[in-house]
Amino acid sequence: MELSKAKVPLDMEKEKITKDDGRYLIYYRFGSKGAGNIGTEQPDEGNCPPGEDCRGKTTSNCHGQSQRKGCGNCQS
Amino acid sequence: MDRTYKPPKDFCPLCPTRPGAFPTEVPAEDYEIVVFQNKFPSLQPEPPVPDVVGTDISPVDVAKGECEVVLYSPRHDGTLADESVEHIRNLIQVWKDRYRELGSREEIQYVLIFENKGEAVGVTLHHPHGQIYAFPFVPPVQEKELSAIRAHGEKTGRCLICDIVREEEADGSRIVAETDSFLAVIPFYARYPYEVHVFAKEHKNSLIELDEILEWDLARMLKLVMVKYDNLFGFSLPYMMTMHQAPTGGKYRGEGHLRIEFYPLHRSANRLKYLAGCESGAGTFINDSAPEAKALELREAGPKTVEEIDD
Repeated sequence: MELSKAKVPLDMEKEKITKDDGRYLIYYRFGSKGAGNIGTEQPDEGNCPPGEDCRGKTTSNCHGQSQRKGCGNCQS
Repeated sequence: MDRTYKPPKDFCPLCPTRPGAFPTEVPAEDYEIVVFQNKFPSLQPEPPVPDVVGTDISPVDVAKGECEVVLYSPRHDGTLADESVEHIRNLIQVWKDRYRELGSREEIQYVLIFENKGEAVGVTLHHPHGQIYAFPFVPPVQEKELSAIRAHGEKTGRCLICDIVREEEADGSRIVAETDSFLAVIPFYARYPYEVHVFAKEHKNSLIELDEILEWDLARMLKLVMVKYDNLFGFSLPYMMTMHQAPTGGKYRGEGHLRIEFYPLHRSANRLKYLAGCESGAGTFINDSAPEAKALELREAGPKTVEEIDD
């Protein structure tokens, strides 16, 4: 896989700053704390059963292909 | 070098900067996961010219590369084992991003993600954190392992690590834990008594190849192994953790098999394994315990499966 074209996860926000001494620092934020789309990955259409928490569970309950925290009816 | 050495909690440089308190490395009152350039880097993008002149026998070169610090959590007290599975999965995404970004740099051949945890392994800052070194070469341990993987591939047409995974699965006696996609074992060739390797069961070169399902699965497995360590010993077990992935440059670029290796120094709760004469002088590790016996101890230590761990 070409690394420079690799996808960045959708549910992660990245803010890079330069500190006073010139070093960089990156804040990574997730989910409810202000995630934004910084990558190229497209979201799945949420199709989980109402109230179902699909995180880390079997695929059969969520999308049929992949899981996504906070999508559709999933609990985040 | 004037490095920070075991500062008191109120002066931890890795905590958020509290209002009115001294400025830390992170100029914010809170954060989730932070990555920053190491203040005392062994490798840097614009390295100074070496202050000695090399010879044919002792060549020198600029220390070009990158050294980053990864802050796992704003909470000073605690360890990665204390974090939720969700938070560990977030960390995996950060590792993935750093591997991709650093590995995309022209001069970088190997991105080493690692953690030194606990005073037993020389940690001077207790705030939970790991490190990343982006090397302009493939380090010697990885070079040797990649050479062996390639030789096995040329001989058999198969991946050496995949074959090791199949062999460990078939034997079963050295398995510590298992999930759908990952296998934790004390390998046949373990150097430390409680050395656990977490293998991707199917061939994956790097974190980049993990989809969300595998990220969650790996997060649960990592938490399971770390909690087992702490429960077996009765305290937060110090360890070195290294992530082995495909080089991003050089002659082995793209080759390899993802795994995470833990090297705890403890032989028992009050005894350490030292790299003594034979290990340091001959490069030969003496391990006086059977991996099968130590794997059984860890297997029996709670939680026994990922289903038993708290999210």
